This record gives sequence, structure tokens and C-alpha cells, in this order.
Amino acid sequence: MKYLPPKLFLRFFRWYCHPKLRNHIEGDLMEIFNERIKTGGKGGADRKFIIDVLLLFRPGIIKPVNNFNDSNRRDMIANYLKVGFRNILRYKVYSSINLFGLAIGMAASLLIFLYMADELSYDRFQKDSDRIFRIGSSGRFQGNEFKDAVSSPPIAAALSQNVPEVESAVRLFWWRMMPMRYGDKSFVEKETFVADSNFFQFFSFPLISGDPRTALQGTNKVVLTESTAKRYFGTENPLGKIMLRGEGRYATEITGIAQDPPPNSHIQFDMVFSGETLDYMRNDHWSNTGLYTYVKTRSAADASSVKHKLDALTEKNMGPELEAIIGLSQQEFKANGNSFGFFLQPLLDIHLKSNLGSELAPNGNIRYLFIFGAIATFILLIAVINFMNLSTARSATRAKEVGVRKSIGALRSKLMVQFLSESMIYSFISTVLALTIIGLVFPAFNSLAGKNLKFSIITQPAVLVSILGFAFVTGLIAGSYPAFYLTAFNPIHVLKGKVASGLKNSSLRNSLVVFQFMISIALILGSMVVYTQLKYMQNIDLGFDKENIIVVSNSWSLGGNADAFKNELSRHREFISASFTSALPPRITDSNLFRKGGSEQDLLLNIATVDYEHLATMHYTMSAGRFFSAEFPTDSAAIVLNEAAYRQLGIEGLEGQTVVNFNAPKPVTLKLIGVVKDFNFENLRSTVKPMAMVLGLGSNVWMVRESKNEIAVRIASGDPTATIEKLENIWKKYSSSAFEFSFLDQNIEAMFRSEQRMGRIVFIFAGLAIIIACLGLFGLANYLGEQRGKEISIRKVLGASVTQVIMLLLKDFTLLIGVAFLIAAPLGWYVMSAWLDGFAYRTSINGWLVLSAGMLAMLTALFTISFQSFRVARENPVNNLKGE
Amino acid sequence: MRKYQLGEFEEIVILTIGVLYKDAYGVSIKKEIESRLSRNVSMGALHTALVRLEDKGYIKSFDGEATEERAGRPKKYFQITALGKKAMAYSKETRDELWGAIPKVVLEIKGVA
Repeated sequence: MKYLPPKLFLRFFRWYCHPKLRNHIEGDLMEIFNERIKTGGKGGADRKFIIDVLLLFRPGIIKPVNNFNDSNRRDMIANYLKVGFRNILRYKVYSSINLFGLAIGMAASLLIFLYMADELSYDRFQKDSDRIFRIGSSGRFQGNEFKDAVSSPPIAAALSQNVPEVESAVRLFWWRMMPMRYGDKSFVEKETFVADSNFFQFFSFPLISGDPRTALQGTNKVVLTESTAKRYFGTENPLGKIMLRGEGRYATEITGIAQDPPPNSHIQFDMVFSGETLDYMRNDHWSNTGLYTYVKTRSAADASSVKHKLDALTEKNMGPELEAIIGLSQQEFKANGNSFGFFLQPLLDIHLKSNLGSELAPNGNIRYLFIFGAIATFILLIAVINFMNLSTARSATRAKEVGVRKSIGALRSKLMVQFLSESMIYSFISTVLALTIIGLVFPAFNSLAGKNLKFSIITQPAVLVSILGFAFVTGLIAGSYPAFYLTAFNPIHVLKGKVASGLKNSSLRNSLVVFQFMISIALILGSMVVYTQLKYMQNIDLGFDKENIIVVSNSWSLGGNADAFKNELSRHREFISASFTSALPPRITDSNLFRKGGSEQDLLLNIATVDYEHLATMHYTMSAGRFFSAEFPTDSAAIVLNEAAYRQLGIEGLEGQTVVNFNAPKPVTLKLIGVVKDFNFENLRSTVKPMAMVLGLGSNVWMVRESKNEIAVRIASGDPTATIEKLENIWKKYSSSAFEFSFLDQNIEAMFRSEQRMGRIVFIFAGLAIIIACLGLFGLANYLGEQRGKEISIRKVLGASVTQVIMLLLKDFTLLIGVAFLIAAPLGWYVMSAWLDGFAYRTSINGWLVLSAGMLAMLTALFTISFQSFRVARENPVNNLKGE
Repeated sequence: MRKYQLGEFEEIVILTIGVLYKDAYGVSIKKEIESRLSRNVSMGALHTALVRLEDKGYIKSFDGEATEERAGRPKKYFQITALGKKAMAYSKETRDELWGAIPKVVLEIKGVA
């Protein structure tokens, strides 16, 4: 009986062994194997054989990777490059279509990738960013859900004392408007914060001067950023100088200068005051959410256990507070379907994944980021497909070369290397072109994306390397299909002149064209829908007249001069009316708990304090009752609800109805005098929430942060420049603060900024997509026209008219684009409907819109090809037929 | 730089080839080393050493007969070249020189221990 060693390993040995050694080593192996079978049996022999084979797998025995001599490798590559360059120069139309298309595609996608990289880099510069969490508050009160970025003052201390997993915690209060003075310089600072003394140790905001440990200790200390310091002090050393804060002119010592926070930080401060400066930091109410709390846990995995312990602490501390404030025990509170609690949010999620109330900075949106990434990839793909299609369509011109190379001994793998190196040439030249394009459009890109990126980030080594990698991958993808396709030719057929397979075998090419136009049509449709929606939101009836209203946002600085200021305004004809208020749309964010008089029915209402002229200024519509009026002195204890609040509180009729508020030291009963028609006071993503208005007098001021925070001035229509100037002059008589104004309609417009940005980006890239796709189509049509020259000439000789010939040429492409449209329409419809679903007020996608997107693509494409077709159709048949 | 490169295992292999004289091929070398030095020799180590010795020109090889237990694969016999002999001699000389240079006392004490 003859035994054989394990086949698999024997084959493995034969595969790796150097051919010179293979025979006699195999002989040795067999000899020992047979001997072992006699002494130790088959099992042991097999095992030892495997071990021997594995131990033989070592450098001296393994054959070299290339089993034939490659001495001319360098010369061959030089030859490939030379032939590649000659081809580029010889077929200038195709080369420029390829290069230009690829360059535009690469520039567009590189820009988008830069944008994405910047968005993804938010807050990553913070040391330990993976274990920093922000504590937010969430819950439900009387059917109103809320989810806020803010939490309450006592949490930080409670967590650091009671929860061992918490390494440190810091609190941050956003002071917003704060007038600051030094000498004759005075500015109203917006990005002012109050922070605990460990702020500069907790976060990686380095101090240029001052001690990060002590800078924020004590009352009335402040750390300025470098650029803020420059504004007040120029070249002087600000350290130790005294600035005056607020209308009260509190002396505040400068204890440090911080570097400006990087633009990719969600905390953007100009000034940070010491925590002891602000009484609110010592507030001990768990329900009083108004500042930002950040904790650093010992490890990133501790978040859930911290959350558990925080829940327990909240439970313990909230109970007594609930009883005291709304008179409900915790059980009753919960039994009514309410909840209140805190949650931990990873620092790195804040910019892209958070969508909370009271955010410090406008958030990005991870969904838009995905959309942009997809668009970038698609555009690049369209450009790459151009390359593939043109290379394979034109294969006939290269077929002879392939045939000759093969017959003198080129391996298919070597030919693939050749074609890949050609596509690499294209992709690297395109990269250089793309970088030039990026350099040219960089400022425009920055304003489009709302970023402040520097072109110099591209020259960073890491970015350069990834761009090179990007070019390499693009070249590889673009070249892979032609490399397979072109090298598959049979040299005998090719050299006999039996080619033209590039023309017949076009189903893949057709489907790639369909794909290109499908993407283009979907993008066009997308940008059309975004535009219709924006238009819709801009023209929607907000419930008030947003035109011709100037908002002066720091009117609280008027102090005692407020009435005098308003009186003077009323003496000028340009100012139709003016109204002090705590907040204006789209930012009425103060909210209070209200109860329907004589019931247990509580509701969280957004609240604004107003004055008698508010209705006349804003042009709200009353749906029942009346607005506040000076003729009724009792109106100081009256309230106007919007329809949503009226409905949700379950009130019927106005007569004898009251609403109770609990924010003042003792409950205040307010008489319901009117109901205002719902108007949008937040954004249009949500429906109108319940809200109320009261006069900004007496105990009502407890309900809001600042009762005369803003003044809305309705002006006569026309050129506002002179009016604004006049307003500013009057302002200066009454306030020592700077004149900070905005237009109400622009403030509302600003709410749609991210949608507008997305609309513009999608629009531009839809345009680019169709341009690149048409470039490719132009190249294809050009080539096919050349190929079919004889056919067309014969048709013409036989009597076909120019129109018939053009129809013939356009027919194929029309069909392809038609198919692309049939795929793109439902796809685009579906995606855009999903996008629209995010808006409470939305337009609908109608069939005409979809159809017009398709028609637009079709017309652009036909326009591109028709030149070519026309030229071919007009040509004199003699020119094409005389050759033979 | 040494005049002749000869590693420890290579030296054993080339010596064994000398011992076996006309009968030195893979399996016999392996067995000879295993029996004389009572150590295990893997095929991998042995053939690597043989390749390297041949590359250095210390041994040369010629194909021999194919037998049935070798599944028809030829044996490859090895023979020491003139250069190989010089290398062996050089290696031995250096060892002897070193031996001679050791003071007697060292060896005696070693004997005691």
C-alpha cells in the first residue's frame, strides 16, 4: 500500500518553492515521509510532513515573487508614460474632455471633502475630548417636550462630590450682551461667558499670559481673547488693567489673555468672567436650568453609570422643589405624564448630532454632511465614468497597439500596468488642474460654505498625502475597467483588422451613461425642490408683517430713558410705531408655567412681554377679544394667548377667564383679554407652540429674562438708509451703548441659512454634474459620429434628409436619458419627500417639477450632441466615401 | 570582515558532508547530524544551509538517481569544493589558535568545577 502525504501541503510546497530546489527537496520530503510511515504510522508522518513543509517556508527556499527577469522594468514604464503622453497629445479633444471633466470632478469633491473634514474636526482639539460630556436637560411638561443644552447650577458640584467616576466639572454661563468700557473705547460684547475657575484647565484653550489656575478666581476678574484685547488695548499690555462692565460700570480686572478659540470649537468666547462675579452661579435650584455644565469622566465608558447616579441625585433633589414651586409631589408630577431629567451628551456629538434648544453655536447637521459626501462621490464618479466610456469607446484606436505588444511577448498583466499608468497620468494632471481650480474658487467656496478655511491647509503634508492618495485611487478606478477591457483583445483578430468590438459591445457603456444622467437628474430635482421649499418658507404667512421692521437689540441699555426714547420716535414721521418687548420672532424662547384659573391644568407657554403699541407694530391679527390698551389700567394684570395656548389650556370664551403664573415670588392671576392668531415665533420646522403675551410692567417682568430687551420699530417703506441714520442719532441721545440693529425679515431669513446653504451647494453641484456628464456625452457623440461617418454618407446618398440623419443620431441618446429619467424621478421624489418631512410647513413636489428636471437634463444633453450631429449630418457624402 | 564566512550550523553541515563523502544528500545529511550530535534538524534549516553553502561556493551539487521511495524525484548529492576545504581549514585553525591561547589554569579549574 502506497501512501501519499497531505495533498494540500504538498501543493503549497510546490507553489512556494524555488523551481531549482523543488525536485530534490520534494524527493527528500517523500523519502522521509515514507520512512516515517514505516516507523510511526500515517498520522504521525502526515503531521511531521506538514511541520516540515511549514518550516521550509523561509526566505532561502521561497521562489522570488517575479519569476522572470524584469531587468527592463524601468524602461518599460518610461515607455508606457511616453506612449501615454503621446496619446494625450494626439487626441486633443478626448484628452481635454477627460482632463477637464476629471479636474472639475476632483476639485468639487475635494472641496466637499475639505468641508466635511472641517465639520468633523469640531472640538476634537480638546484634550480628552472623548471623555468630556455636556449635561443637558430634557423632559415633558403638559404635553410639551423639551430638550435643552442647558442644565442647572447645583449639578456640577453634586456630581464632583458624589460621583467618583466624574474627574472634574465646569460650568459656563452665557452672558450674551455685555457693554464693556476701557478709557474711551466701548463695545457691546456678545460672546461673554461666566465660568468656574477651572475653565482654562478643563478645556484646552491656552492662555498667552496669566495663570490658567488662578485667572478666574475671585469676583470681577476677566480673561480676554487676544483679538478682543487688541480691540481695547492695541499694543498695550492689558494684564492687570481695569475694565468697566455693564451699565453699572463694575470695575473688572483683566487676569489673563487667551488665544482666540479655534473656529472649530462650539464654544466661541471673547471674554470669560470669573464665576464668583455672577450670583446665578450660586443658585441651588435643580429645576432652574440656565447654564452649561461639562463633566470629564475617568473613562469614556463611564457615561452610563454617571447618568444613573445623576438620575438618582435629580430624583432626590427635585422632589422638594417640585412641591414648593408647582405644588405637586413627585408622584403626582409623574402621574400627570410629566418628566424632567438630565442627560449626558458627548462633546464630540455637539456640533453635528445635537439638535437641542439653547445651543451655544449653530449646529452642523450630520445628515447634510452625508448628503454632501454622497454628492461629492457621485460627481467624481460621473467624471470617472467619462474616462471609462471614452477609453473603451475608442478602444479600436488602441487595439492594434495591444495586438502588437501582445505578439512580441507582453503579458496581459503588463498591459494592464500600461493602461493603469496612463489613467494615472490623467488623474495626476487632473489633480494639478483641480488644485488650481480650488485655488481660484476658494474664496467663493468659503462664502458658500460659511467657513473661514485657509488655502494653506491644502499644503499641509498630511492633506497633500491624502490628496495624492485620492489621485491614485481615482486613477485606479478610472483605469481599471479600460485596463481589463483593452487587454482582453485577441492579437490575431486585432491584427487581422477584425475590431470594432468597442462599438458593438456597448451595453455597459450605455448603462454608465444612464447612471450619469440619473445622478444629474436627481441632483437637479433635488436643488429644485430645495429652492421651492425655501421660496415657500419665505413667502409663507407668518402671522405678522415682517417687512419694514428694524430691531434694536440692546434697548435694555436705555434704562430710565426708554420712554423718552420712544416718545421722541413718535414725533418723527418715518417711525410709524415702536414697541419694547422681551423678544421678537424668530427667537421668543423664554417660557413659563401657566395654569388655567380655577383648575389644575398647567401648561408651559413661551412668553413675551410687550407694550401697548406691539400689535400696531407687528401687525398680528386678533382672533378674539382685544389687545392691551392704555384705556384699561387693569391690563397690567391681563394676558393675551395665542390660539394654540387657548386651545391647549382648554379655555372657552373670554369672559371671566384667568390664567395664573408662578414665577413671581407669589402667584399672579392674569385676566384673559384676547386671543391672537397663531404666528410663527420660532422656526418653520415646528408647528406653532402655545405662547402668551403680557405687558412688561410690575410683577410681569419676572416671567422673562429682560422685559425691555429689544425694541421693534416699524418704519415707512422706501430706502431705509436715511431712516436708520436718524434712528441712530436719536439713539445716541438716550443710550451710551453702541447702536445694534437688524431687520426683522433678515433675522427670520437667517433661520433658513443652513437650508439656503444646502440649496446653493446642491444647485452648484447639480450644475457641475450635468456639465461633466454632457462633456462625456459630447466625447461619445463625437466619436460615434466619426465611426458612423460612412453609414451616414451611404444613407444620404440613398436619399436620407439631414433631419432624418440628425434624428437617427439623437435617438439613441434620447432613449438613454429617458431611461435615466425614469429611474431618477421616483428616487429623487422619495429622497426629497423625506427631506421635506422635516418641515412642519412644506411645499409639495408636483409632477411638473419632476418633469421639468428631466426636461432640463434632456435639453442640455441634446443641445450638447446636436452640434456634433448637425455637423456629421451636413457633411458631403463624397468626403467620407472616396477613401475606398 | 572575516576571510571565510562559515556559520555554526553551516560548519556542522559541511563537516557532515565530508564525513559522508560520496553519499551526502539531504536525507542522509540530516540523519547523520541527528545521530552524531543527537539534535533535531528540520528540513527547512538544513536546506537553507545547503543553499547558502552552495551560493558561497563551498559545496557543489550534482543530480543522482531517483528511487521509488522518493516518488521518482532525483537525489541531489553534495561535494565539498576546494574553497570549501579552505574555509573549513581556516575555521579549524582559528579555533585551535584560540584553544592554544587559553591558559592551562582555566581548563584545570573548569575540570574541578
